[in-house]
Amino acid sequence: MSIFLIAGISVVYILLLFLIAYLTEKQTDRKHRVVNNPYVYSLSLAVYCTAWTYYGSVGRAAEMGLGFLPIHLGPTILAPLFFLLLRKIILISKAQRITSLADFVSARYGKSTTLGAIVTLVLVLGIVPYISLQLKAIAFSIQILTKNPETPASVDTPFFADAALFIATALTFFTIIFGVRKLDANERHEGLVAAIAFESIVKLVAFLGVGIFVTFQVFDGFGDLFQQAARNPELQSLFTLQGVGLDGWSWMWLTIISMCAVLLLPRQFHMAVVENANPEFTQKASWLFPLYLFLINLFVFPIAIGGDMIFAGNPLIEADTYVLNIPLSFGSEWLALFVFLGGLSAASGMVIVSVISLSIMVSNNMILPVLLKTGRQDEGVYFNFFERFLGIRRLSVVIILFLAYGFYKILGVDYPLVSIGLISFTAVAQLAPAVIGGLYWKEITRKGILAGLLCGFIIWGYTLPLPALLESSDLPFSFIKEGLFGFSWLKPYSFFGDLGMSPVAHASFWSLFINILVTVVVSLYSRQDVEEIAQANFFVDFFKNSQDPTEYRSVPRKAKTTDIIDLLERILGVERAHELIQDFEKNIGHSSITEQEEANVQFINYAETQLAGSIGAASARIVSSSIIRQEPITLKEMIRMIEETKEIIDYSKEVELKSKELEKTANQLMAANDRLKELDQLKAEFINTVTHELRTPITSIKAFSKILLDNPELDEEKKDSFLRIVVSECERISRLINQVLDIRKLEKNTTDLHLQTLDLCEVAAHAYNGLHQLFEEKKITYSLSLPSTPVFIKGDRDRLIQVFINLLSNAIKFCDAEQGEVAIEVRRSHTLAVVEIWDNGIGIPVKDQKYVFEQFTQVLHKDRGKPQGSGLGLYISKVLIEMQKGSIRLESQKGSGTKFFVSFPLI
Amino acid sequence: MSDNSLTRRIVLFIFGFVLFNYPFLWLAGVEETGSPQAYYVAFSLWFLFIVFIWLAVEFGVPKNGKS
Repeated sequence: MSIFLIAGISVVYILLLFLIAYLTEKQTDRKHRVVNNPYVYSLSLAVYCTAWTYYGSVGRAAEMGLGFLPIHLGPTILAPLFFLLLRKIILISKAQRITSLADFVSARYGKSTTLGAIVTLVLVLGIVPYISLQLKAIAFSIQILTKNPETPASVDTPFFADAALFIATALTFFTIIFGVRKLDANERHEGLVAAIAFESIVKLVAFLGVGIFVTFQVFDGFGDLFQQAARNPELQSLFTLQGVGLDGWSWMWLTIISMCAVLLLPRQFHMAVVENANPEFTQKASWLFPLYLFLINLFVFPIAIGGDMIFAGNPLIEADTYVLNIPLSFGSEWLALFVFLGGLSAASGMVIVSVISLSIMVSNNMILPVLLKTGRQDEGVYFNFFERFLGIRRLSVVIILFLAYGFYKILGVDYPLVSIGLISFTAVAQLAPAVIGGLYWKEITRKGILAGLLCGFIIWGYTLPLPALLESSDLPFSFIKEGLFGFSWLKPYSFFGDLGMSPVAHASFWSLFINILVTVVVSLYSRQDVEEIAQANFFVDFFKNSQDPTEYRSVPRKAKTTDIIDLLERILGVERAHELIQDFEKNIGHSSITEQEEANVQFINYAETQLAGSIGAASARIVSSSIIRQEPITLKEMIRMIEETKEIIDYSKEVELKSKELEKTANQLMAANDRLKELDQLKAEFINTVTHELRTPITSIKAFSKILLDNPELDEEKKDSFLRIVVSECERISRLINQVLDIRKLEKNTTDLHLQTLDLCEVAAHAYNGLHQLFEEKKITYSLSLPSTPVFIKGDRDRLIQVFINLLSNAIKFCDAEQGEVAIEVRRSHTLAVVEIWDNGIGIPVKDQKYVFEQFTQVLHKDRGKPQGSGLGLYISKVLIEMQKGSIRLESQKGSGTKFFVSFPLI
Repeated sequence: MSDNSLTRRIVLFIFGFVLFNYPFLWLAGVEETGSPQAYYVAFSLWFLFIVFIWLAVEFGVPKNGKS
């Protein structure tokens, strides 16, 4: 294929990207811009799929079968947590105007410049080889299209004819124009987002195109492809894990590091967080992005085994190049050209976004802090700052891209695509404890993160890139096989012993394990400063606290308004600074902010946050420290703060105690209220009963009296009978009134008892004999059993007779209606005199027994209905007995009669 | 975000992590037979998991994200 055709199409394609980016940014209606939707956002996340996915996955599948999957399954597994994890990162980043991963880590741990610089260094070292891999992919794909497919790919092309150099130059221009045109990095680059989303569509369609071509054009569908592969023992082994040397642990660790990578790779952080237009887009992206990964991987395996069969016996054609070589070998040059554009999209998208992100980190977290700390804090440092700093950032872009190009020219040829990708993934995974831990654990300290990150990064360097670089250089380094200083446990590929895992899984396990362990241990034994505490609270409690970023600071700061405005103008430019001040005044609702001499704390925080958006949190802290005075905390203030804290703790404990007491009192009140309700109910029932009991005899008296009055001629016998009834009913009324009066007296404790020594047998016999008539009338079998000698107790004779009559009356009332039996027995039991009164009645259910001695209580019987009486007798009896130092209890079962036991101390 | 929505996502994440490790490899048959069916099973499970996420996200949480 002609190089001019390829070059022409490449230029047209890159111009098309420019056009898309330009038209998107030109759209005036911000709200309805094409990029402002979750579908474009999800497509922009597909920058995850680089040339590694595009070319390298096929290479990996041809070598390891389904071993290419974990890198894409990891993000799929993490996707359900996007709305939880990624959304929190986005909201925090928007609130603090965080513009890169290094800035995020630096801001979380007290805006530390050291931490920001180390994270930047880790990422540059981890990602630059990955960028070089993309350049290599583009250059090699051009070589494949222009030369004989069997010609080995080479990096020995002279500079002036090197396609990779031209591509790198074109990408540098694109990155500068659409990525770092403005200084305010927190403003989204919507043109860039549109171009990346477009590239994601192109690479997906191109890959699906070549997949369909191989599966349905070259072979006769999946069935035919797999059947033919199954006949080849070498290809069949690709379907097994054992055959390709990938064990379950390695599989698991690859999914874990790819989960970390999808959040922490600089390009992913940039597209997912910095370029995010709406945090709610993460919702849809949590299934759209995995769907994209699924589709782009659907034909990886068929292309790999198809290529293996097509190019069997031709070792010069590498599996990484199957996607291009298959269409070429079948004469489909236009398809091959389209596939090349897909690969160009995959590689350029990654390069552009990674370089933007790294350039922000390098300029904000490495170059600027050094300039600010070493430069004079006067006119010199800030002179023409806006233009100079933009120049620094653009220079960073050029340096990073050409570092990557240099890496490709020097070392790139011996690296398979996959190796560099996995090494980069493991490097960024070292940031997981700092980022994820920092979102949910307040106690992590800056020192802990620094120590953990350094340990993890050193182990990563020692176990992965170092041996890989030395092996590719063919230098005789014995420590790779024998271990450092001859210690076998220091062999890079079996660090701390051989666990039987792949080198990447082994390095991932040990670097992350040591990283997390050191972070936790150092954090537990080190302290946070005030800034760290404030930032930890802001990050961890983001959803709990007010989401106003100006309210999280606890330490008061002071600055002159004019100084702040001056600083904003110097760093952001006059026009932008005035726009921001106007926005602030609009938000707080008054326009006199510039007239105040001393700036209020909201304006100070606002200005610092805006500066952070342009130059990073750590650098913003350095520049603002020249004008913002943070009052030093004196010993006196420290003591006051401690006292206040102690007071708060004491107060909290007191409140906790009080609330427990209140809860207890509330429970008691509720119980008392229930009891009162119950008593009220009983009282109402009592009134009903008493009035009913009074009304019945009164009605009777009234009726008989009227008969006697209206009928003077009635015979004497009838008159006599009626008058007896009237007298009886009057006695009944009298008795009831006496009982009620007894209760009044008992309640007031005004009952007079005439205590004397008396014979209980005589008292019981008296009561018994007084009821003979009633026993006879009701045809009840009755008996009295007394001991042979008197039983002396101390008591009130009349009151005891009243008690026994009451108990016997109850026995008569409730004994069996047909064959009633009542018995009374007096006996001695140890030191007690006991009177038992028994009947063969229907008994009292166990559940009701506890109520029978309460006032106004009557047990209802279904078969007898409401019993006669006021429900006061047993209550009065119990009180009278207890006043004489006695006790009363009962034994009863439903249907088996009732036995009352009344006992007194013997004299 | 409500506890219910949070729990649903965490459960789905744990389910995915477990599914796509040993059970996934076992279900795909790669360790036992080396059958080409492994490819079909692997991608079917992957697609099924995406459907689960889709159901959980689109039908489990109101649009304002505050279920």
